[in-house]
Amino acid sequence: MKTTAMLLATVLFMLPLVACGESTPPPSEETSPAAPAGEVSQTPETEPETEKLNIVVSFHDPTLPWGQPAKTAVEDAAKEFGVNVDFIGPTPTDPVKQLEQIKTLYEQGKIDGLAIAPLEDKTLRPYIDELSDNGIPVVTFTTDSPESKRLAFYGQGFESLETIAYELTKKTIELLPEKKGKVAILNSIPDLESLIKREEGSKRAIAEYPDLEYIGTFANKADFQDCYADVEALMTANPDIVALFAEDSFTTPSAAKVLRDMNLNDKVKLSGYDMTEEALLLVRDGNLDILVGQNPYMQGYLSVKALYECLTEDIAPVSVEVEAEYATPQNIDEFLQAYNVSG
Amino acid sequence: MEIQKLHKNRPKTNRKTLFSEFGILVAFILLTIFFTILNPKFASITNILNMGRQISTIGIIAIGMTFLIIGGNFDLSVGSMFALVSTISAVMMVNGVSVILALLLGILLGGLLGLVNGVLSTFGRIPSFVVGLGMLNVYRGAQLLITGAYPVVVGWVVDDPGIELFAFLGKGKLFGVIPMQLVLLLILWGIGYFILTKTVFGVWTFAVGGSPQAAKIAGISIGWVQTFGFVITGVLVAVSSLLQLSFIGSVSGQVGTGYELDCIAAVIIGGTKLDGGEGTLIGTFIGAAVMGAMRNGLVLLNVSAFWQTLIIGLVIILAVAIDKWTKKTN
Repeated sequence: MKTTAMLLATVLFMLPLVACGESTPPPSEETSPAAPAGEVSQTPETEPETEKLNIVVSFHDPTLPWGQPAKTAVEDAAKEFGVNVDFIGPTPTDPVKQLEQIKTLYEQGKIDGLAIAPLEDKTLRPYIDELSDNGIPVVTFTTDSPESKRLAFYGQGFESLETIAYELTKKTIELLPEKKGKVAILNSIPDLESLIKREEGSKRAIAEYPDLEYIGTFANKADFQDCYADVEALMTANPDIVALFAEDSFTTPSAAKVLRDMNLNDKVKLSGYDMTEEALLLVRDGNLDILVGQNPYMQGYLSVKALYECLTEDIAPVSVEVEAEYATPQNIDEFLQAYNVSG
Repeated sequence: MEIQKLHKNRPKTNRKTLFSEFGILVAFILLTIFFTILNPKFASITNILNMGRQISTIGIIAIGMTFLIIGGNFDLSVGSMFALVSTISAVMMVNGVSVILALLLGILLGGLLGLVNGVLSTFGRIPSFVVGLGMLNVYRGAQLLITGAYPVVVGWVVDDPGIELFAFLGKGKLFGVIPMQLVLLLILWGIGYFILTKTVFGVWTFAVGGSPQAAKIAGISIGWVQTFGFVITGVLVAVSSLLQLSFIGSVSGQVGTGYELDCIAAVIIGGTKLDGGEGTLIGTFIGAAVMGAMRNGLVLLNVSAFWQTLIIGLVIILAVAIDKWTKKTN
């Protein structure tokens, strides 16, 4: 009985492994490169299988909402260029784990090209350099490692992140009838380099208005419920807050919902980031004043395209400063259409 | 005869039990006074009701966790279970499944996941700590596989007769004042309290956690009692997750992360013994309230996020210490 139970348990535990192995689809005609015109196509038994390039795309955390458009772009690019793409990243954000994941794949020979959004420049730079020295082309996107041997960057650099945040905050402040009162910054991952830069930009803008009082940075957990609770408590404690500057895609919709539920949309101005479906709908409904998108789709797409062209056609990747987009209640319809959002 | 003895000796809900929670209640009262002095808005009706709603997510799950820990087990997978249930229900809703049906299936799923954890921990003889660690990853992985890590938004699903009920349960207010999440927490707490203190199952739970050998001699089926504790937890996780789904209107790949630790903290702060056999739901409720008050109070005081993390950890230790010292004195 005991032996039977053990055998049954072993079989049950092996099943997921078998299922994972079968889930990888075999190369199909749609994804394999087509045979050049004029050549006689060979029978499946004799035709050599074209080996696809393996491009690894390492993001901050593949479960983060602002990474989803990049993931879609990477999948689209994989189909377009006929490459294998692995969209990976640590959960939760951890630069050391990000490094370890890439190392593991490289040591297994599974990286022909790497697109990475480094969580921390200092941690990832030495390994980016090592890969480059070993002939692996590396590009960065969303966040950069400018001193490293990466070939190109697609996104807004740290200086640009700070500048975008500065301009966004200023635009939001300009919506206030009187430029005075309390303001707060919301940041759910306060140790993430890119969000630190955004915060710096927001603070620089706030400092230009002497009658605005910056009371602090809040909502520090990457969880919608916790962000909502923190913003709710913040607004309860400080009913004289006139503006909130949300720096990421957790705090943005959470703060918008708090203002909606507390009927404060007319009194408090809110800016935020990342054009997720929910955030766009909140702009449409008047719960969010300005929403910035950094076009993660284009960042992800250009990264894969650049690596493909580098590996197959020896074209050197060139950095592209992907422009940020600004959605407001006045122009929201074009964004809803562009992002295929209906609600 | 053995069962009668156990029933006679079970922890009673009376002045003695209430007094045994004196320690943690003292901690909660001190916290409340402290925050109110520094910011009177802490004690405003609006803020208290908001806090009540805020603690309901962890509070509901902590009811089940109390049963589990008293019975001698843990479930570290509740956060991932939370994510999986709300994801599956959300996916059903946005794909046209009736809201009511999606909710009922979600609750059923929670019970089934609890059953899996329970069977593995009891009849499978795998320590519940290990089962929880493993299933935490299994459920999270399943959730990510289903959604591809894309968030699922239900906040704008409108064409369904059940949507109003769903919205009311998560976002509505009883008499226009009391958040429904808090109402449901109190109802579920009451039901849990009754089961734990007034039923044979409650007696068995204490017996199994306090002395498995004695419970076995008394003829109690340890495996089924403990498994049922997991099922109760699973159902409560599902209820909590669906309430949050209604309130927030979406579910992301990150949801539920760390909830297991918050639940266990609430239960332990409330005085439930880690090695089983002793504990109360009154204590758990106060434990959840302590944690909610901490978080809320620090934000009201505009304390920086970095300090909040440090202070919450210190206060948890202090709250348990006050509880232990008070019990020792008594």
